[in-house]
Amino acid sequence: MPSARATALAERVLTVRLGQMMVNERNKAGAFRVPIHLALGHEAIAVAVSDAMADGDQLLLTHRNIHYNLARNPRLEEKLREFALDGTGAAGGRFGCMNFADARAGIPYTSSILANSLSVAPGFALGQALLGRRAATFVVTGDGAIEEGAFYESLLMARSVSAAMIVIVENNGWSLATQIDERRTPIDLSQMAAALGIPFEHLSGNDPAHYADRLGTLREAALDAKRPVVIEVALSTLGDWRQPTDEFPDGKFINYHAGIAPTVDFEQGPLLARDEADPVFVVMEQFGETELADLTARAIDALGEVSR
Amino acid sequence: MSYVSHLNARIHDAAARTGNAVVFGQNVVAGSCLSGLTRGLDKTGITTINTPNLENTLVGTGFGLMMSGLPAAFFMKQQDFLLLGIDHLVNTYNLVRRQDTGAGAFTIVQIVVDSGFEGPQSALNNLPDLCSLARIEGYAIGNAHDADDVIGRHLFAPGFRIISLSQRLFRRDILSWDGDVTPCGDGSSLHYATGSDLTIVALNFAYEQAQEVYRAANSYGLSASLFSSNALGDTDWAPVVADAARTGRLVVLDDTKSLRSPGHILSLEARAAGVTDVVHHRRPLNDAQFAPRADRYEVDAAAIIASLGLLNRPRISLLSA
Repeated sequence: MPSARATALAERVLTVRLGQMMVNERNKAGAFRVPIHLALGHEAIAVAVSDAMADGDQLLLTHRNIHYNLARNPRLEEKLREFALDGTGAAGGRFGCMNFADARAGIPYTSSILANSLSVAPGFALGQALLGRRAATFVVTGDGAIEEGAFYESLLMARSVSAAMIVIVENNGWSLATQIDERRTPIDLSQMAAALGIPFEHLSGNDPAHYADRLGTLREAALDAKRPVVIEVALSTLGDWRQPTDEFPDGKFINYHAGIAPTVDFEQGPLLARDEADPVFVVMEQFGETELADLTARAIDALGEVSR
Repeated sequence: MSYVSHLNARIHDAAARTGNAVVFGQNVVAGSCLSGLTRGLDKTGITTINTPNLENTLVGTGFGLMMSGLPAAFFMKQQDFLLLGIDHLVNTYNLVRRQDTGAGAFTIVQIVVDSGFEGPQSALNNLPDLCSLARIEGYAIGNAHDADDVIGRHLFAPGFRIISLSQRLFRRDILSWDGDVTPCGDGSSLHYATGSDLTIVALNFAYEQAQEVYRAANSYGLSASLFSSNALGDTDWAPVVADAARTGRLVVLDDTKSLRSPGHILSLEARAAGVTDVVHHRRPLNDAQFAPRADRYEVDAAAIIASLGLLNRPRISLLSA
């Protein structure tokens, strides 16, 4: 019997999934002029980070930020308005999607520039310490951004100034249209972190409760030791499809990066893959299909009223 | 008092007024403390941090401190190194400027290596270009009045700006004006003297050269107005243009290496206001600047005055700067 906390986390995974699917449907209908970067398949880590955050903690994000914004504050309507650049949006229509930051939800900064927020994060972490607050700064990046020099710089800075900075590396194996082995040599993040005396942890399996437990522990350790931590999370960005071309009559594999996910259909329900790559599948395995339906109903309620 | 000692004193004054300030950068409280610029700040009660060599991240960190509501200043040697932080000067600032950061402040204080012979990669003198990237406030300090005004008003004030210092001037006695000095317009220019024959304006670190032209004009019995502009971002030129429209002649002394200097804008605004005799004096911008050399900005004051058709008077004396 899953605990109440595990149930709440599972429900939030579904909220983040369904919220994105609703955004996708709006995008199909041409509601947005701003580019939308969905994070289907990234829900478990987003929910776990949100759960691990305490009052005063801050979260810095990238252009692919919708999952964290929904995890922190599931009210969807204000986000739809923001993406439509409406002045009543969550950020007053100032940021659109790729720079969407909701300070009320503990998200003061979101950058659409690769690795940019990594360099800003030590300032937030240092600021918290100088203001005498026991608060952590979470910063999310990806396997593409760790190729930038700013990744190394920010770790060295955070370690040098004793900053409790929690670096989440979402490793989906892709950067735009290239996979890791198509563009670079492998990077062993554990060794990179060790070289700077920074703890490292690898997470996989998309179990939100396990992730949340580990993140909570690592957050406390970072604050106690006054040093950063690097957490690499293995995940898959779902929403890929096959596009028939002359060269690929059976369909060329298209990795989802941004825009509409054409094969993802809200009416088909939240499950997108029947394996661990899909956090919703992990939830279904834990709770069963009947409970999944109940969780789905509650998750939709959590998104709040959405205008037609 | 030397230029650097005067600056150090003004920085101490600003720190004393701003208890929660954060000063960081390489060697800010170690070694020579940037040739004395930041010496003693660790005794003032503010937070001082010697950092690793991470210009990109140090600029980003400054914005993070600013968004945390703290007044922060990153001292760096040299302006050339600031190029490593351009992502944040543009992209991060474009977000920060749209947020309410309260008392949060971020100032980058950087030194222009204009002392000569440092080579082609240590000779950037282009504050207006950096400011232009994202409409950044930028200030250059060429004399004691600039130092008092810029450090006093801006170092830890809410918002973001870049302050530029001249390495060439560091060990020299700081230049100053013996009479009254008044800010004009929005405060982006300082007014030293009012004359009737020509208007002289110093940009960037060219106050010394402007003084030279001013004294030369006096030596020819001419009466000149003298201004300096320590703001090289979005400068309010209206008071200077009004003065030039009255005298009918404008001389702009400009030691920046920017192809599109604020001096161009000032000259255009003056011409639009009916000033027909305009001299925008600069050193030649050619390939010679990309080799080790003295890198001095020198003016022939008599030739500048002659180019305005003003040397039909007997010369009284020509004072050296």
